[in-house]
Amino acid sequence: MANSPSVRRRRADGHEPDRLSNLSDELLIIILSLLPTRMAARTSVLSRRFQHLWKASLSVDLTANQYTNNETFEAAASSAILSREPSNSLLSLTLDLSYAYDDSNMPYTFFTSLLVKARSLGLRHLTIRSNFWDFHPIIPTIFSIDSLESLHLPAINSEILMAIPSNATLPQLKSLSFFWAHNSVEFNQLLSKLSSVQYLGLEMYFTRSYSLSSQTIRKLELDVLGCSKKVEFFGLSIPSLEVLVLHLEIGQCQSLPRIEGDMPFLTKAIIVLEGLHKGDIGAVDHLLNCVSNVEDLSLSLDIKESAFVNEEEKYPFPVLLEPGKAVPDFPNLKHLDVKMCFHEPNLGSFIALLHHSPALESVKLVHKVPRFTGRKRTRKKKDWVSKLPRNVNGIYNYLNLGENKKELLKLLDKNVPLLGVHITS
Amino acid sequence: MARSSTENMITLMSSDGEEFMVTEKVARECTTIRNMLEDDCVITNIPLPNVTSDILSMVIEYCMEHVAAAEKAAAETAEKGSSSAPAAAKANKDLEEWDKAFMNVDVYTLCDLILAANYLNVSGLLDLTIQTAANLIKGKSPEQIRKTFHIQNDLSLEEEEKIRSQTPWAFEKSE
Repeated sequence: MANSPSVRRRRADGHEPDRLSNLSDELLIIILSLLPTRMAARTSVLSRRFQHLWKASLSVDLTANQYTNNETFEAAASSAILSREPSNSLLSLTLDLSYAYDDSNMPYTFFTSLLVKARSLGLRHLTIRSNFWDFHPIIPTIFSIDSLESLHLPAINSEILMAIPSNATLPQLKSLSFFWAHNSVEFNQLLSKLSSVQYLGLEMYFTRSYSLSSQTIRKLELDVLGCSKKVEFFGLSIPSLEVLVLHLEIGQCQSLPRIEGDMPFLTKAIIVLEGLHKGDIGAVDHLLNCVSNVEDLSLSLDIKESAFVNEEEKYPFPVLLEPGKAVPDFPNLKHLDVKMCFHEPNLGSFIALLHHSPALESVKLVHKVPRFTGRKRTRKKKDWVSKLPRNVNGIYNYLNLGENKKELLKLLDKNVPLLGVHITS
Repeated sequence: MARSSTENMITLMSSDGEEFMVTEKVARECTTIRNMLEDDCVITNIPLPNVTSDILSMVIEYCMEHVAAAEKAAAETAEKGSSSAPAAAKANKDLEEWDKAFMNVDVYTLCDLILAANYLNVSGLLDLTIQTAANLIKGKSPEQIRKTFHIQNDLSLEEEEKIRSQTPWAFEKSE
């Protein structure tokens, strides 16, 4: 930029011009809206021009543990929200209360007053973060903010669900996410009431068999952090679902629940399963059958990493497709991304899957070596090495259908035609 | 640039009288110009009295890069019937990298680009420049912000103290 005229101008008149103050109030406010409220408020002393600008910021973002104590945090929230001029609308509010309040001294009335004020300012996006505290007293106020388009809440439980007013509809709400620790029928009822929600993000524990149902959700991100006891079944009755992101960590000594769902419009699935056992293959199969309509499929399958393995789990076992069972058809599958241990049984499953994916255009494979931990090596490493053919670079854990035609052909039985596979190169 | 001769060319004229010939497609990235073209479809010469030639050339560079990226993606979709997810992800990442490199400018140019992006209504460029400006403010003390943007402090010491005392929480040390 050495030759730009602005640089020349600066040199010509001897002092350095303040270009930022050239911007309109409107533009400066948009810039300040991208800052945490603490930073935005700091700009009040830059110059006379900046003194009040931050107060019109379109977003308020307060993280309690950045303040020296709860009182200063409340003072900040007061100036940024309660003292706000009614003409300065507020689009987005983030309250991060993690590691700040304990349950016994939650100033509920204060938070309710913040939310009531935010409602009067036309709030569209609300995010509340916290540890596990019971915030059900402020729930009725949250669910009365009809202008909300997105809502992110911390852990909710049955008590919180019960606190949601029965007439709450949040007609503008498109995106909903929270940590969900309890299964309950009330939750499906809530989803049926919030009929504009298209995105649902859930972090949860499986505590018992459960079905999630919604007529409107198009994208679901489900992060299952574990199963507290044996869960047999998890159902997804979400007929309009287009994108499924499932991350499931199977808890100690538990098995993968049977996941079933009818998702005719599903186009994309990202599935990450961690801690699989030999006995889980039937459930993996079930899941693959559920998502067989997809165009994009990303699979990451990890076996249980433990020093204490069953006798039968010392040797490679398939986790992708159940031997002897019918292979599901993937009529629309175009892009497949698989990360797992490509030992012999899994490679066999993978080849079978390729044969049932006539529309396939690209494949990305990553061989994941199981990290066997523990003092005693109970599994022989050589049993678990990749059986994928090496490609020209000698890297055998990476395979692109588009670029590594030879490798793929080598991989597959030469006599089996690659029906409809689009190979470029 | 290899362009089909049937494509309409538009001449954009900067405040300092420099002329830039661009395809209609590139010009249309600027919503302000798109609206002009839709109001008056025979217009081919557009004076932009608020934008200097150095800034206008950068805005055009940005628009051309983004039009080219969109065209490439569209061509791939047409060829294969659908876009390939990994290729699209890579293209997005490349464009992000390009944007990042494009934002390697001094604060004067950055502020002029914000003004131009706002005047010409190029939403992608406006978001990019605004975010860059916010990042330059983030984590700095008022004194450092003034220094970065060469802001003249026209407040007296007493006035500044008074403003600070209204929001003491903003000036606490812990970050």
